[in-house]
Amino acid sequence: MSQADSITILLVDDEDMVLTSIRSFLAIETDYHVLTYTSPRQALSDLDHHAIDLVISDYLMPEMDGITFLSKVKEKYPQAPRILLTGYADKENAIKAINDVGLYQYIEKPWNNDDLHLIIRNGLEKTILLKRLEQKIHEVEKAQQELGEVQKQILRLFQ
Amino acid sequence: MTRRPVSDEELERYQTLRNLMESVLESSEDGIVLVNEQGRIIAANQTFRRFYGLENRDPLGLDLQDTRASAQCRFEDPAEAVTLFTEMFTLRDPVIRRSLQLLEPEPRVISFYARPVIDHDGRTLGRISIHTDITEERKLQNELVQAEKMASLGLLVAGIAHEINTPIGSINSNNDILIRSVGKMRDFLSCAQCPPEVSENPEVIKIMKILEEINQNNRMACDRIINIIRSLKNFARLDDSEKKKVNIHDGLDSTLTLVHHQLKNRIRVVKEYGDLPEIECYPNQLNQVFMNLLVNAGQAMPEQGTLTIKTFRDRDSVVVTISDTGVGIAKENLRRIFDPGFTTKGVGVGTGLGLSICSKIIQDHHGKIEVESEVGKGTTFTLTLPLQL
Repeated sequence: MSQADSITILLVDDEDMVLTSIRSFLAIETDYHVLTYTSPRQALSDLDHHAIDLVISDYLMPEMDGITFLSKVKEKYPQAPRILLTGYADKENAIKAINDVGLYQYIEKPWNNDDLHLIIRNGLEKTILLKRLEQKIHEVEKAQQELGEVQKQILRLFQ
Repeated sequence: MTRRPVSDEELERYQTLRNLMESVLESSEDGIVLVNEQGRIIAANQTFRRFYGLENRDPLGLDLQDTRASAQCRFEDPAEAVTLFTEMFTLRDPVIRRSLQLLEPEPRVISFYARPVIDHDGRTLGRISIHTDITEERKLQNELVQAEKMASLGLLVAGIAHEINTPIGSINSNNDILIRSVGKMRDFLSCAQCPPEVSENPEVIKIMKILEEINQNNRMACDRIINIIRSLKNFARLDDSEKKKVNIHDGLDSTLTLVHHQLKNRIRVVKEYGDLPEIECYPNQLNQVFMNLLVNAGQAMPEQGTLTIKTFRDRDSVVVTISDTGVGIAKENLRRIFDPGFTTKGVGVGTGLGLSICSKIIQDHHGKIEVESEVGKGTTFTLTLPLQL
């Protein structure tokens, strides 16, 4: 719970109905914080205000395609797994993108919610582990610092 | 003209000529029949006899009635038979080429015409009619039309599948969410914290039951739609072969072979092929474009003409021009020729989709298709295709 509370997912699709569907699904099955955008441009300009842990994007959008969008997100959050939501006939592009932008996975429309959930969970696991590691390192550093303080105090007492 | 004795030499020459004429008639692949002024058959070659099932009878001397009675043939449209035989035997005017469908003795499509036979003095001796078996030609033509129809249907289906995909994806997901939500509601109703006034309320029980039923129903309906879309996608991909690197001269040449029967001897084909690198493309789709343009060029030249296919490289593109010396396209039509459904060919000849499909395919290849035309002079289509797709 405490882990999931801190998870933020960025979801972009030019079709509002897709956003509503996926957001509702994640709301009922998870505690992730989901940011939804119909405009990839708006999503990019808002990236400064939120830290994100995972990003899901549609492929065919009028402003820019999903691969371009994901590569821009990668610049800012390289560790966030990138998932491409592809419609019919975009599969080839998706496979190309796996290498081009280091795609974590692609999901074909119409998607299956269980698959979607599994892919998101697996993708996040990596981020969560990295985050936890960072947290532990931070804790260890903090403990070490505290220990150093205590050590200094003890030394001072003996002087 | 006074009669004089015929010498042996003349008789021999006459015999030789007669034999020659007979051999010519008999070896023709076209059915040939001659009818005299009195409406009786004076010559009918074996091809003619074969076409109309007259092999068991000597057709010489038969008139219209006799021929109709003894011909062992059946037409798809019996009224056509009446017209055919009447025109062969009785009409004075030339009959322009028309076609008929025979069912028996062999299923055949016959194209025939008839003209008066006139001697040196301008006297009408009778009529000749020539019957050509165009079954194969017709079959190929129909295949072409069919291919065009399938291609346009493929585009339509692909478009529909694409458009339906997103909304059905959403509905399917939403229905799944409903099933999950109702499941959670059910869990809540059966847990200890839930007050019995709620969990045992008959209205609540009834609504829960209805919700669960219709959700299941929706799931089945969604599955069915998704399956249908999947099959439509497969259908649309049927002719969508793999992307390959090819030399487009191969495609042009094989397409020329296919349309050869439409160009026949009346159209001279000039190939001015440049030195081209291989390009990345969907060869089947490009061949479909070539096919369309070549057939159009052939149709634009109803009489004689020259079809010129030129290719060359232009920086990062290859350029193909297909020119005809045909009737040309009127200025007011030039703008609309790539519009779906636009045709000047008339019902049954064109679907009005050929060039719109071409334009779509070239677009998909990130290329350009352009047209230049002058009425009475001819038309040139220019295709520009990038080396890399």
